[in-house]
Amino acid sequence: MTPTLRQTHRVAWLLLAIILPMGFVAALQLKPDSIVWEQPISLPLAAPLPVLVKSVENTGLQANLRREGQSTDRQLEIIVRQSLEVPSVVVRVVSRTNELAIGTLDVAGVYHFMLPDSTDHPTIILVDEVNHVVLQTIHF
Amino acid sequence: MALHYQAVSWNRQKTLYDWAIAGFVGLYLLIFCGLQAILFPDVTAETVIIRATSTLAFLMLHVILMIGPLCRLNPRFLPLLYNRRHLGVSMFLISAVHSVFSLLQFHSRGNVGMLKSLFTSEPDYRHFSQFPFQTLGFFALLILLVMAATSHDFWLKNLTPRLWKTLHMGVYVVYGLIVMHVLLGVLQQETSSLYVILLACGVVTIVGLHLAAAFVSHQPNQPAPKTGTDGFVSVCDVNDIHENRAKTMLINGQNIAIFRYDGKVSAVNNQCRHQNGPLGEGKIIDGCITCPWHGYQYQPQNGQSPPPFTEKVETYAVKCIGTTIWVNPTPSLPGTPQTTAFF
Repeated sequence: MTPTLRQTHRVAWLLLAIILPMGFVAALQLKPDSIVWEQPISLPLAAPLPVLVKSVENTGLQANLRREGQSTDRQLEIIVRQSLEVPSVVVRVVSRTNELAIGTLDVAGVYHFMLPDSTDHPTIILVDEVNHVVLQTIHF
Repeated sequence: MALHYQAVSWNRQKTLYDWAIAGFVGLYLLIFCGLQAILFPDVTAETVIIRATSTLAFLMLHVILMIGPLCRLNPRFLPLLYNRRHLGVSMFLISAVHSVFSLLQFHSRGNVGMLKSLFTSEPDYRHFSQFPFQTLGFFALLILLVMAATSHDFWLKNLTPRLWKTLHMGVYVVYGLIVMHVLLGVLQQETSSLYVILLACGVVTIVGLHLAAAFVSHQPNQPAPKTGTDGFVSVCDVNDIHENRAKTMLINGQNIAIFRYDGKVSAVNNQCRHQNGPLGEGKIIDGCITCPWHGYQYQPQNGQSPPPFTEKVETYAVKCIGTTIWVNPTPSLPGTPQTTAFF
């Protein structure tokens, strides 16, 4: 190595010897106390209601309408077999006056949502809220 | 040494060196992936590849950066320097695998291009606390790409050793970028202090070794103790130099290596034509000065490589009066024969 390059080499490592410990200390100060992904991110899954009223097959998923005995409560069960390739899927119940959001879908799995009324013929839409696109419509 | 450019001029030592690299890489990946499969069975294959290649490349970067100062502190490490280039290119390839899998895993599913996503998806360039660590890794890889692409002797010859060496000092910038990439990236998510301790040990080792080597090899421009009327300078006693070895001097800006061998003394420029390696730290093998870095050879009496090779270094006139060595620090043209000084 030429004396000039050796001098450059010396200066470079002296600078690194100063900068790296400073960066080290500064970066460690930023460490959060708790890690976000270690916290629970969803509530435990609600149990399915015992009576299956109707079942509908759609692309990549199965939708079931359930109820409890003679109760007027209705539960929507969606079994996602294949993940929907959009970042945010909102489940909405369509009525004459509005579209009520009742939950969201994420990865493949089973989802349960309580329905707002006791009809046995609800219309459900799955909406990509980011791009404002209706992905699927489910008719019971 | 070679007369013509070849993809790789293989010899036994290079083959052994490369097998050692391949063996180490294979063994590391095997052990790392095996441990990941046992300790984190839910982790996907892509994540295991990203983790394995990142840790392996960072470890190799540490080894690469340790070789230079270790060789300056102790010549026993010189065999590691011989084919360091292949270690560097291997490290770049492993880093590239890490980068490609990271881009695919974190930036390929969006509705913007992967590179655009890389530069825009993370929080804020204006604040240290939210600085996008992935861009640091990107620029480190870019520098490594340039270094790997120019690692061949073709580029060394055409860029000149000085420019080539300057370009390859970019590895120091790479080290700084990668340390910050790790600090602002994965260490922000890891709760175990083991990773912080390991990184700190690595940084302290690398910086400490380089500073120690710089301190040990610091050679101020020595004032000539005695100057004769004919321009010769008294440099040292012949007994100060071991047989077949050299003493190096910086006189009037000239970096001179004075060799003692077979009852004779010769002086040549201390910089090898290949990569400006320190000839004075080499020794005379088969009657030739042999560079400690890559084995380039020069005849001590004329500074010429033995035929058929064509490299030449500057020579200096030398004479011995008693056991005192006198050198004329005005360089002769590369390859100029000098009258042999006997003692």
